[in-house]
Amino acid sequence: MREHYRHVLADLESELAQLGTDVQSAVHAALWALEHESLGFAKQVITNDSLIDQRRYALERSALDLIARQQPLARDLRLVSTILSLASELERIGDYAEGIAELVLRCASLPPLILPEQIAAMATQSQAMLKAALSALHQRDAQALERLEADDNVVDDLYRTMTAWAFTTMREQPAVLERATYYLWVAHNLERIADRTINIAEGAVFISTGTVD
Amino acid sequence: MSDVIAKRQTAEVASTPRVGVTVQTANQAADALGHKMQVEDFSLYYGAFKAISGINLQIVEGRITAFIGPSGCGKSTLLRSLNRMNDLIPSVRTDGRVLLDSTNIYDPRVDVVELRRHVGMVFQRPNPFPKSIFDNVAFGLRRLKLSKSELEDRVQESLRRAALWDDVKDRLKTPATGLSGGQQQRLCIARAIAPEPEVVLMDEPCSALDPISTLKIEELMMDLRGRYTIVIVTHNMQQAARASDYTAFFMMNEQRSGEMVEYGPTGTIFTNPQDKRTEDYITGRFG
Repeated sequence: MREHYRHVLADLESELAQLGTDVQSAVHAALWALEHESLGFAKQVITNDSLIDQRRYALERSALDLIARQQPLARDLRLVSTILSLASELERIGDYAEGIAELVLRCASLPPLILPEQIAAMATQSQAMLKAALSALHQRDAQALERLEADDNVVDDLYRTMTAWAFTTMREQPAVLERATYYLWVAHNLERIADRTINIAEGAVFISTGTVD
Repeated sequence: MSDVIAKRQTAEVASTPRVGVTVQTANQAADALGHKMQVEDFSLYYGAFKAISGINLQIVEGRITAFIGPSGCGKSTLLRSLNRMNDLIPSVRTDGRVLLDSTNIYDPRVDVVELRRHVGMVFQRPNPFPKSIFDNVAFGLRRLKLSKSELEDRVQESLRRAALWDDVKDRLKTPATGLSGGQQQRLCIARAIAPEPEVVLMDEPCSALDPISTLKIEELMMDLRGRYTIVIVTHNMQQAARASDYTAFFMMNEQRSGEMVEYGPTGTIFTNPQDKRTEDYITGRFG
C-alpha cells in the first residue's frame, strides 16, 4: 500500500544522506588543507560550499512538497520534520568547514606556527562525532546521543585548553599573534561542528521515540 | 491518435489567447515532455448558459492531471468534453478546440465511438455491466475480432494492470456485481484500459469508495502512469496532491461560468500557488 509514497520518502532520506556525505567531505577537505597548508584544497572547499547550500534548499523543497502532497503522519511526520531541521544543521556544518578553509587562506602569508595538538585532537574527535551522528540517524539509534554527549564534553575540554594555549602563545610570541588567533577560530569552528552533531543525534532520538528530553 | 480520426482532421488553425489565468510551468512541461491533449479557448454552453469559459491547457502525455475546484465549477463538464461525452446531452454547444495529438476531436467528421476507444472513461460510481467479470473486461474488445486466446490474454493483462487479477482469477465467470465496491471500480478501470486507450478520464473514481479502496485506486493510477495519460476530477484535494503530477484549479466566475484559475505542477500548486483564489481554496478558506 502507498508504494509511491514509500519511494518518495526513501528518496528524501537518501537526499539527506547525500547532504551528510558532502558535508563530511567538506570538513575533511578543510582540515586536510589546514594540516597541509593547501591553498588549492581550501579554495575548492569554499567553491563547493555553494553546492552544499543548493543541496540543502533542494532538500527543503522536497520535504515541503512531500508534506503538502502526501500528508505524512506519526513516525513518517517526525522523520520529515527532522529532515527539514537537519538540512539546516548540516548546511551550517558545511559553513564551518568553509570558515576553516578561509582561515587557511588567511594564514598563507603569515609567519609559521606549528598547529597545536589540541586542534588535531579536536579535528579527529569532531569528524568521528559527525560520522557517528549520521550513522545513528540512519540506524535510528537512540542510544548514540548519550555517547556523543560524552564525546562533546571531551571536545569542549580540548577547546578550553586550546584557548589557554592561544592566550599564552599570543602573550609570549607576538609575531605569531595573528596566526594564533586564526587557529583559535579554527578550534571554535570545530567545537561548533561537534556541538551540532548532538542535534543530529537528537534527531535520531526524536524519530525513534517521538520525544527528546 | 488513430488513423481513423487523423485522416478526418481538417487543417484549421485557431488562435489560442491565454489571458487571466496563472499557468505556471505545466504548459512548458508539456512542451518538454509532449502533450497528449490540448484544450484551446474552449467554452461549452447548455442552451444559452455558458457552463465553462475560455479554457486553455495542455495535458502532458503519460502523466496524471487532476482537475480540482468547488462544486459547479465545470471540472466534470470539461472532463466529459475530452471524449465528447457531453454530446449525449441535448442543447450542448461548444466553442474552441480540443486536440488529441493533432486532431481536433470536435471536427464533425470524427467518429465519436472510435474517439472513445482512444479516450476511455471511468465514472464516479462503479458501473459494471450485469455480466461476468470476464465479459465486462472483454466488452470493448469484442469489436476487435480477436481470437479466443488473444481475447483471454487481453482480459488477463487488463486485470493484472488494474491490480485485480489475483482477486478474481478463480472466478472470472461469476457476476461482476458480486465484487466489493473497490474491486468493482478496479474492474471498471480494467474495462476502460482493455482497448488500450491513450487517455483515461476518471470522474471522481473514488468518491463512493472507502479509504483503503481509495488508496488502492491511487496506487493503481501511479502504476498506470507512463503507459496512459490520465485526467482525474476529484473533490478530494489530498487525493489530487497525492496522486497527480499536474493540477488545474477551476472556479465559477461572476457569470457562474466555470473557468480555469491556475494550472501547474502539483507540488507547486500545493506549496506555492500563484493565485490567491487557489491558495484560499486549498487552505480551506472557501469552497
